[in-house]
Amino acid sequence: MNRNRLGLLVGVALLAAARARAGTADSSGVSAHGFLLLDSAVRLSDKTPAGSSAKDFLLGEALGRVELAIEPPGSDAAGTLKLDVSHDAVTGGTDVELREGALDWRKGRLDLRAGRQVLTWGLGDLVFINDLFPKDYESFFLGRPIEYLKVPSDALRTSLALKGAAVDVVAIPFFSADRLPARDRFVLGFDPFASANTSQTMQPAASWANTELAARVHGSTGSTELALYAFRGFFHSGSLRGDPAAAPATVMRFFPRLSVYGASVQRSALQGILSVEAGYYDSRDDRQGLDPLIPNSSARWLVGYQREVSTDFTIGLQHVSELMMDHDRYRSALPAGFPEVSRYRQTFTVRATRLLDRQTWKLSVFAFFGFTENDVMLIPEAEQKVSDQLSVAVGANLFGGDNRATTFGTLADSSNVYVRARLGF
Amino acid sequence: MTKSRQALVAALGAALAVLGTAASAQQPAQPDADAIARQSLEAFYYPGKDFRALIEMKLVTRNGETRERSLTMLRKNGGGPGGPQRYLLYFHKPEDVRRMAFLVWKYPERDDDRWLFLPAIDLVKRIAASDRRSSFVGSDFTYEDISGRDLAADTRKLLREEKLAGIPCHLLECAPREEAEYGRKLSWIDRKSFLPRREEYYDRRGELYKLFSADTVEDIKGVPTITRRTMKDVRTGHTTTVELTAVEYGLGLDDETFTERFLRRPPQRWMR
Repeated sequence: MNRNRLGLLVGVALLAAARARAGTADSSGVSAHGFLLLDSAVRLSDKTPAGSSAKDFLLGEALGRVELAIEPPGSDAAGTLKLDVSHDAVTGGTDVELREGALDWRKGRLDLRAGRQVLTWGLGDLVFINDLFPKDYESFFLGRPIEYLKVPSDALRTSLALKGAAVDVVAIPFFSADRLPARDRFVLGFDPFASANTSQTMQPAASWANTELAARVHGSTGSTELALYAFRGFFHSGSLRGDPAAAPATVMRFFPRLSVYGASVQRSALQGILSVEAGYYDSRDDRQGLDPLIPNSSARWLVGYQREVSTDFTIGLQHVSELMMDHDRYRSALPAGFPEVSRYRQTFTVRATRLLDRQTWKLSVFAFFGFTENDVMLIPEAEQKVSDQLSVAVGANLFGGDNRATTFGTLADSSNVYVRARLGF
Repeated sequence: MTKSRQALVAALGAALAVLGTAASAQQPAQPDADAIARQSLEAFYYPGKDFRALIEMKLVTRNGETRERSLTMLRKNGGGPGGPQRYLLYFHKPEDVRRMAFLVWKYPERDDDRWLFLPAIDLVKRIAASDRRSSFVGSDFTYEDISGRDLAADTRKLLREEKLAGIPCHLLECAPREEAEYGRKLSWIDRKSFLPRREEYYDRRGELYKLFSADTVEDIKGVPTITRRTMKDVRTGHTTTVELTAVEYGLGLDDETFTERFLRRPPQRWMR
């Protein structure tokens, strides 16, 4: 509560400062902006999660963002601060989150960015192979703006520009986990830990040995772009361990060690853009595949294609594969009652986006089709930019599957319709 | 159209062509239409080795509702007129696209390579861009209107010499070789600066639907530059006005400026 109060105070002070100079950048290079966001999501099923008091709502949020930037003209250094203050009527919680607080410095061929920042790379569209930076799937499944799919990292990013190529190295000393759909909002169709009434999270401690490292080398020849990636850190989604194993009273979330090595190629082809990305996941805490609670090593790859088929109408397609190593050992170690994951899993995604009325309307649909598990997620959305300041969106997150134990099948009773309004200043 | 009318039109066309040849024969110093178009492309889209401007766009509906776009543009030529170019666009307004940036590698007679940087998710995204006639940021200008159209994409003829608001102009008629949303275009090209002063777009039925005007032309260090231009959609009454300030040529931009590094974080010294 004290932390909240302090945050609120800081937020109000920043808002006041922002109001005083909203939208301006003076000679000192200071600018202030932000937005107000109202978003709510309504459950389509009549089931209510055990821990929730808000019967039909998954989300009822009001959020204020203040964004300050300092860019002294002619200077090599700059700084940004993004602070969110939000209240959610569903959980009753008030939250203050520093989304970004980073310093930039550029000299010669070197760029440094230190502090809290959002990090993204790789070619997948909502499919992440070599992007091992933390994600917030809960926000994504609630229809919050896409920027909230990313959890900011406390990191140091070093980028070196060479002739025709560039090297990025990111060091993340403070671990951030993925945020996953939780039982206070989502009705989970498959929950082997439903009996547990306490939960613990064992995050990797901040230490030299636990500092996550991610690197990328990228360059291009003509209009073909190539990249190599490497990552050494942890599975961000984590694994769950029940205690006792049979009818767990406590569930513990832990984060096994992971290394990933990958590559990607992107070029224009077939009147569109063709992308290929692959990565090998080395599950360092269970290389033999003997521990059923730790993901086995795997190879993952995707082939993507996007094209503007007519004016302001774009289609994107992706075929995603995941091949599990040591599947036989995984099968023999799998406890009774747990659904078996196939050795080779395929997913197909489709995105269609149509802009209308001078690009003030955006109609889009994104679909994941799990071929192997027969599950599906559909996200239709209509967004209107009412004015330069105000935009309104209506959409849905629709989950389904033959089986409640699949990725999207488990969320079938959490399918929702969302409404979002954003006022910028 | 009946066969007899087609024959009549053909005969008229032939007669006009003969007259046209006769007329031009009397003025031997006339440059040909393609040469004018080339010089115009050079004057409008290729002046200087490189270029920087702050671009402010006003998109106004018939009812007066206004939207604004503000961006800094950097451009570098990779060869002579009609050759490849690189563009960087940094958006300042409206708030929801602030700090978004757009990198374009433009090639003659081939699709552009385009990348978009979305700062909120730190994402550099390559975007499919086959349609250069689509609207630029929702305005009445197309991508081609901003960065130029391939000379080979049109056939053209010089209709006549004509004064437009007292300015001597070449009047060119252009028609797209491949099917486009316009059937023909009339361009009044300033005889001195070779900048287009006015352009009329006619659809395939011959109806005027879009109107371009160069409202202000300034001399920037010896380079005549259109610093205010308007495109009007005649059918809907929607207009877009573009104003250029902080215009500078010959900044000395290098190729490395037009890469992902500067897409993510602009070169501060060139920003306005």
